[in-house]
Amino acid sequence: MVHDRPDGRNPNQLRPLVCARGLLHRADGSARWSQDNTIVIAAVYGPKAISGRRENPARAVLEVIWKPKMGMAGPSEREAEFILKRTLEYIVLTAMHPNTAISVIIQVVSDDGGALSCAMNAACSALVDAGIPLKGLIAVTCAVDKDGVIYLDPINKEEKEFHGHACLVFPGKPMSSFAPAGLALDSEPIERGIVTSVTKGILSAEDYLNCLERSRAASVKIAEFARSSLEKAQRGVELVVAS
Amino acid sequence: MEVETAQEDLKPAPGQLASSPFINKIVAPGDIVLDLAQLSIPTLRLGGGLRQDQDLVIATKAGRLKYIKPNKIWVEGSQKRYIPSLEDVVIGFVVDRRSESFTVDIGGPVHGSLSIFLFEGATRRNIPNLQAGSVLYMRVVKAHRDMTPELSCVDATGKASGFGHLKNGYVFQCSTGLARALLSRPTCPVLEALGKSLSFEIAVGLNGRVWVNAASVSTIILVSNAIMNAEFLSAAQQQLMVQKLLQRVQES
Repeated sequence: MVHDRPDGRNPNQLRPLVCARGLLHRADGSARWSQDNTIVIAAVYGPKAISGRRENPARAVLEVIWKPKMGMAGPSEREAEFILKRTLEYIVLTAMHPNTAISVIIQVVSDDGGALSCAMNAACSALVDAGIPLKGLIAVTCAVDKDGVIYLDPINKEEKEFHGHACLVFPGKPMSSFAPAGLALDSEPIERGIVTSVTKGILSAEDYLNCLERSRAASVKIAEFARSSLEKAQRGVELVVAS
Repeated sequence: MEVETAQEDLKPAPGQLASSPFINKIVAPGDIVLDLAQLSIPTLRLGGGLRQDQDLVIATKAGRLKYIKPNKIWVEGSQKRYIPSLEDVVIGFVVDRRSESFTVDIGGPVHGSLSIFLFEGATRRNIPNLQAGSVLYMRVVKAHRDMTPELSCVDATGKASGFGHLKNGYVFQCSTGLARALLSRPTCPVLEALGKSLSFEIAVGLNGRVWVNAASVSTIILVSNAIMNAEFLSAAQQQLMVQKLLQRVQES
């Protein structure tokens, strides 16, 4: 039985996406990612010098700071920081900048559900804006499951009524006109993989796999949007260089 | 002046660089730009923003893919943070003086080191008198991710050639893309437009720093503002902007 969604979307529909890059003057890279009423700003500083016991002579140290919209950061913010750090460590080529630190600061501007996935998309865009060398891009979606029906990109109200909630990070599909045999793990193409999966509540195995398939299809749209936003930003930067 | 850093040499099989569909297009990190198995060039030089993964060349930064015949390829993008690379000209500030070298801030992840002997006519008795905060125009002679970058105030033959202490003037920050544009040939439109009516001295560092000096303070301010504003403008817009600025100054 499919319930009507409070904002009139159908279960597979994502909220409108907006991405602005390079909005902060002092940060090396920044991006604001909004999914309708959920807005998150990510700022990236680095690679910068680091000293003391935190430094790693083989790779850059990634640190994430999550600032909630109101109040002090607590355990749930620490958890979000940890998840983000592990996810971003997958895409950042940390070995290219040993003995440095790369800081990612997430500021939640408004949260109407799906803040973690919004933050991860924003962090990826901010890293690209800062010119940090990356292995690839990521696209993040989340979904809730209610009575066996999967709703993508839930708003706050839907998240509160969920039975199971999943936030899923997929690697962005790389562009290439060749059909390379490379870039596959165990003969499965890289875009069929998954980077991070964060689940809450109760999800049956079948529902989880269902979530995975729907989210993967949605993540393709998010990856396309992120790419076109990246190209537009690059063209803006290039007006001087081209002349 | 085209900026590129050679990082790797490798030997693939048949094909031509120019045939890659990504040449002169914007690439994102993770894009596979070349399949080495299909190239016929004996050695390929990969510049900034590219890495090699077995048989594939993959972009690590967002930017436009450029190439020079027959075998140099790189990604050109613009950043705020500078990563030191060999043979770049940079503007730095002296931070500290040690027994055999100066510690210089070049805007990268770590400070660079400038030996006291790498100045024209430098000897043990004739050490340049540089205080903390002095502005220097240098070139990068050693840059590796695991080591402190090393700088020099002489060119390869031992002459100063414009490197060294920049006295007076004003230094401001810009992005690496704008710095490259200011140094490229033909001359950047904003510099050409300014040069027609004003006389000033300028030094541009690829680390995103620009030093401007002129006889009067108002000229320095005008030139600096014009350059900072030129970042996202096309050639025609830059000329228009400079005209407007000059008009406003002449009226007051």
